[in-house]
Amino acid sequence: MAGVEIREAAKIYYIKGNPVYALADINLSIADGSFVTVVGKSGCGKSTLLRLICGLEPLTSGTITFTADGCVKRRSEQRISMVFQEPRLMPWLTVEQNMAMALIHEPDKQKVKATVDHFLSLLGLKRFKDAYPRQISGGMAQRTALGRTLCYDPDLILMDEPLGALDAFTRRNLQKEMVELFQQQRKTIVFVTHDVDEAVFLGQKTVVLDAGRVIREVAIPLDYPRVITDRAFFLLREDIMNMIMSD
Amino acid sequence: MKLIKGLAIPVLILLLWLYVSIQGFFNSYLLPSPVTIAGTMGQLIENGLLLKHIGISLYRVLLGFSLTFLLAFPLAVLLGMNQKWNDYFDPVLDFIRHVPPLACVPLLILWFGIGEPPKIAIIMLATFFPVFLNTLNGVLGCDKKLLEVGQVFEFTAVDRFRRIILPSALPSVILGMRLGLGYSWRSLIGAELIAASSGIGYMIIDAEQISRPDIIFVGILTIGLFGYCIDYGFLKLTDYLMPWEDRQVDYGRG
Repeated sequence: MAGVEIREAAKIYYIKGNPVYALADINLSIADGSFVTVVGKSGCGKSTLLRLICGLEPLTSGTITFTADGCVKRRSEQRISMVFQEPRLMPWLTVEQNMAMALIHEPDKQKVKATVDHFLSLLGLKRFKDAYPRQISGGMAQRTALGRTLCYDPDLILMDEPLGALDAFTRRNLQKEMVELFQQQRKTIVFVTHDVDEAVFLGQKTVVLDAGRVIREVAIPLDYPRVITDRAFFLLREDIMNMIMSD
Repeated sequence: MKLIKGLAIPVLILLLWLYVSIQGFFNSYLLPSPVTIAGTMGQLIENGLLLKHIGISLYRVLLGFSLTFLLAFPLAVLLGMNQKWNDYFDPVLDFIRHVPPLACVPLLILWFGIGEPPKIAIIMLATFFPVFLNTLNGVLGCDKKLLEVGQVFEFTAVDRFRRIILPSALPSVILGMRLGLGYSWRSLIGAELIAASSGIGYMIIDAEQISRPDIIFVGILTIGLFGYCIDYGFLKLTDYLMPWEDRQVDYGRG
């Protein structure tokens, strides 16, 4: 497991020589083994934040450090995995092979097979293991992507609107599965979404981003599994919604 | 069904040709009847001449093509994966690309005589660019999003190539090989027409000199037939190598 400490982080893109702040003054602590959701409007810098944590893009300024067992760790000492908005499966690999590709550095083939089998069953993909990505539905594909990440056994899982492209039913199901997985595996998860319901349903803490800045961090002190018709759930959701809308 | 549809037009042409020959609309010297041509083909197969010429032409094509592939494929992969070198290679390659290989034939004959080397060289010149450019496009066209997945799972450069870039470039590479084989076949016949003492191209030009249009027809039909067969083989190979594609990738064929 791993926690994340973000200090004074900023990311500037240059468009025709003009600086555009994607993120500015970001100070954020993500506790070891916690489920944090990040919510905000489109273009508020949510995805950029994840890409910076993952190391897919360099910071313009500031620092991101990782902590595990009370020690500070470098990025290279961490196993960090990301689930993207699109499943990003390799079209030439089957569901099973796509999941196994996360274990490319594992020499023990027996172990790879066991791990992949385990997550295939856990995610209900057993029947589809020999299918190619184009043969399965969007929900199945996103499940495969999630399975691939879980096979990797990361200390930190970053999720960039992984359920954004799914229909409401599949989405609700996967949200429940996500909570169950978190309770079983206790990995640190940072989950980005533009859906406030989803953010409150999943996170122990919700970070509200707007125009590249953190405007609030809201603790969600509700027990899992949450019921979206509960009054406490409703109030938290409205509170966050108002924060975002009032800008 | 597809086979029957595909055969419809050739059969129609053959019947028309037969009819025209029987009616004697054209001088049978200028347009020999299909029966004569079939007879000539039988003779040429029987005395081994046709097979000898095809064998030699095929050998040249395969040798030239393989050598080109060994050169063009790695170069395209290297340039595709290290784009900073592009600035050095781009102008040179663009220059050579615009020179038709047949324009080099006189020079090649001057340098190498009329033996095998100039023919292989012609094939290499003609085949290089289709293989090189298509492979390069395939490598450059690899989805950056898939490469990021490799980055997340800490792929090495070799893994990145083997597991992501190569499979994603494969359709382009095979397209390049198919085009390349077509080009090598054409340029070889061109070279054999100009200077050779064997091969299908030589058989055709020799037939012209001894006034045997039927042999010319046999040569043309053989070239077309072999080109078709090789291409068909490639389509089958595509099916085999890329089972994740729904049907064979129909590179502008359909």
